[in-house]
Amino acid sequence: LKFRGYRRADGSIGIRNSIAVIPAVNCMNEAAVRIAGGSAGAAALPHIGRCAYLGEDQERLFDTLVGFGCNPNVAGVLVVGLGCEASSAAGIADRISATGKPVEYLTVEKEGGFEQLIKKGKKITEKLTAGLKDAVREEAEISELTLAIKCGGSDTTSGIAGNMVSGLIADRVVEAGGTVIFTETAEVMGAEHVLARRARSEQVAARLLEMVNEKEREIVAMGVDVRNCEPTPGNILGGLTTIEEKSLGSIVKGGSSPLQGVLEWGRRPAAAGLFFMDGPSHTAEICSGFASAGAHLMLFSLGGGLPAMLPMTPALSSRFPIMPVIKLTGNPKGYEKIKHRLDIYVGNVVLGEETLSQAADRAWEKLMKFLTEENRGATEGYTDYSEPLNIYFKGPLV
Amino acid sequence: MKSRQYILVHPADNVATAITELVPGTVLVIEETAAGERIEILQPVQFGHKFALRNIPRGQAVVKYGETIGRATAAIRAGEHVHVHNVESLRGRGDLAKA
Repeated sequence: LKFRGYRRADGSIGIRNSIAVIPAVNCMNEAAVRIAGGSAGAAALPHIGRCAYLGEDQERLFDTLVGFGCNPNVAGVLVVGLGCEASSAAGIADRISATGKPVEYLTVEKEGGFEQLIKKGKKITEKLTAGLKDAVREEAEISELTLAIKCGGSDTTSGIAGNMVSGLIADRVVEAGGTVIFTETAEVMGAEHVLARRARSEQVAARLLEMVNEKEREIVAMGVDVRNCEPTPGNILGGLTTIEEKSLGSIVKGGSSPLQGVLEWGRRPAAAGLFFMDGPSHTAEICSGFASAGAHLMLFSLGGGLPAMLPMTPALSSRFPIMPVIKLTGNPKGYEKIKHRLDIYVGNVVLGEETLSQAADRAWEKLMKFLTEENRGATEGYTDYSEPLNIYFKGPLV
Repeated sequence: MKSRQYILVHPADNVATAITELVPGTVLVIEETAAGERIEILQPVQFGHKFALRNIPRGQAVVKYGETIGRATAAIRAGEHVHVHNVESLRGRGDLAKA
């Protein structure tokens, strides 16, 4: 099982070749967007991170930005800072440089002004992108792949078809020695016992249960019924009645491999296999968490309801800057409306016209093409409209 | 394979999922049961929504995937639409903790 990608200095393999322009703080988002704008090989990663947070949230911002830069799809990095933020541009650049990829940083303080920084940043980006033009893909093994899996706009077809096919894809990646990450902690409530049974060790099971219990305690402490947030009003329209039902249909997207470990949001797995990552269930935080954890690509299983009819998925731009997203649905009715926005259709499973394994074979072929080709899939033709990337902060916000 | 009207996920389930628009009066033969149980649909059930395979008394577990997905808040008759109007979740219920 092989694909072709770009070999990095640290031995990892990228399926895309981007120069990432990373703001050290959200004050520098505009600078990053202007520097990367118009440069074919460069991607700006504007984000919501402010200049200072308390405790673990500050570490999380730093680690997330480092994680973006270390993602194997990134060939080189420019970090731009103001000079007064708590996560310094120099510190972020230094940590990313451990990968051996070219990394530079600039601050407004040192350059003497915002416009000066942009001018110099454009020059650096030109130099870094020029280094990409002779890049050649080479052979890589599925064992080198980290696949992220998420579901969205879930309805009752998700647990029957879309997420089941995602799960079979996950199993194939893990069987080949690769890594799979899935998340959405609240969407394990009611299904945690099923997932915990597959944990590699008692410690892994205990950590998973603790993570889900902590989330439920936070919800209960608010004195509200989680219904209408989980499941969402859109999920309920699609026929999902309770969080338990949604969760049981949601966890199958990770497949049936042993659960190798449980990760904090945005953290990179230390081994191969299937990992559960802590996190909220909305796309915005999830994409950032996966990209920071080093995922090459996200497989997005959509229920096919109203959210799936958007040209972009909610709060996710038409594409995530450094991590391609493939969209799949198992909803035959939804598919008819949004064909042009989806990459893989597995609704024949629902109709009884195709088996899960036949659908998974087709999905696998598509996935292999995505790994090896410069392909924006069903997002082709959309604008580069981009929202600041979300980061899962735990608060309190001060 | 012929086109289906419903999906029963697990043999222990007391609900099934409609994959066509089911109208009252439709009689479904539940092929998964040995006796080929017949269920008459009593209420409209949209694509993707669930109907009861047997009578579910108030307070009893609603089962899908062979697991409890909630509790009936009213007596549900076989063939009735099963959704948020007659099923509640047992998880994330801060409203109950508060009461």
